[in-house]
Amino acid sequence: METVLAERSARLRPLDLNHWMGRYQDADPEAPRVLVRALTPGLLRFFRCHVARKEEADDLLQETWLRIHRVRHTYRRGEPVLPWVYAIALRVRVDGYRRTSRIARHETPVEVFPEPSSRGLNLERPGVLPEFETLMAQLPDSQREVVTLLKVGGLTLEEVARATSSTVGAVKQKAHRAYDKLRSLLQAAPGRPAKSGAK
Amino acid sequence: MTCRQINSELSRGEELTPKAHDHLLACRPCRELFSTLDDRDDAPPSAALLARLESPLRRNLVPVAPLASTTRYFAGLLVIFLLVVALGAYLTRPFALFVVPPLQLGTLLAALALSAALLVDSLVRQMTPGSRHRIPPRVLAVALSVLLPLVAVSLFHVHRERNFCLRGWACFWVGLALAAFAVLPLGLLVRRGAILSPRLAGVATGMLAGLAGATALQLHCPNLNLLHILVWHLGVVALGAMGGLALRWKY
Repeated sequence: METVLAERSARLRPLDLNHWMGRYQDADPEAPRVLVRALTPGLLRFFRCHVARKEEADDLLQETWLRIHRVRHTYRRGEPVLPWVYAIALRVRVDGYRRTSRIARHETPVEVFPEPSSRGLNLERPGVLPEFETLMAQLPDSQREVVTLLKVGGLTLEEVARATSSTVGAVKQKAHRAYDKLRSLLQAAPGRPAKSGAK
Repeated sequence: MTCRQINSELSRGEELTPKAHDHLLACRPCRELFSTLDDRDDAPPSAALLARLESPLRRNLVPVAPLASTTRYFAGLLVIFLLVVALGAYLTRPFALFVVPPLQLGTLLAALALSAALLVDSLVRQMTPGSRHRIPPRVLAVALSVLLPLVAVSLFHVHRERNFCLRGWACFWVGLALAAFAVLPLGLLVRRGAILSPRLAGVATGMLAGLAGATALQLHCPNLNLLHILVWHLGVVALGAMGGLALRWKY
């Protein structure tokens, strides 16, 4: 049963997501299961690109599903599901960031041994390409948001524009700037030979 | 093909064209970018995590009525706006229709009505996350705050006026009372959705209520002084926006 369900979730096309969202609003007990299995992998990757700790990503993921559940009436049948889900996920991320910042303001720093950072560019492995998450961490927030939605969430430009309450032109511009910055970061990574072939 | 065109290919997220493929073979920075974006550590979520996510959803599962169509909400918000304007004009009498030159009055009223229509459209879209916005809500709020005064400046002139504050206060309070009257039904409609940014939704709702007050004032008040219109009429819109920001509709 589990395997069949997982396979079915993985095969869900946008039209099926619409269908299952409708059934979710009708309180079909199967719907949450199918939707969670279909959408969680993308959401989890999205949050892992935006927060430093895995546990924090899991918490944000849980908060996102609870919020999706609470506001499921705001989904209009026939509209694309992914922009609706990721718009909520983006809001949860912003709220999570604010909450963390608020808590951090009241915390007193103590002297501890610094942990090796997983967020900076890898200086110890010259010649090896930095990881996706490492590179993403170097981008400004708005550009990182767009690139992760495009490359991790698998959304189209139009869907990203919807999820971010923006326009396709603005999304395209942010994505282009992000790719240019990523290229220069990759070139600046230690051990890279001089740039060649770029136009 | 250039690196810039590769950017477009990457954003499209479809299969690479043969030309793009050839470019990747020749251009190392693009090749590295492509492989970094493509080779991610995509560890799937654990079964325990999925179960943890599913259980609260299944436990509290009841049928919900989805939001009504955008047309209905659009019509609903617009009707509230028009009713408040009509009520205001009826109670205070539309003296301006007989005094203010038709071109000036018509242009300003058209600008106010267009702003209201744009705000209603934006609010309806804000009610459903992931909606397509013609103008991003933040941009719209800023644009209206700048454009409406500019329209007034282009139509009216500054005159010396006795009792500027005294006469202005009378207008201002009437406009504010109408805005306060409009904000309640508008807010009750909007708060059913608009879950993403209560502040932005609050600003748009407050602005719309303020516009209802300002439009009614514009129909009533025959004062042609630019400063009077800017401060005491359009001031209602500004105060409405600030009030909406303070209220920020909770869903």
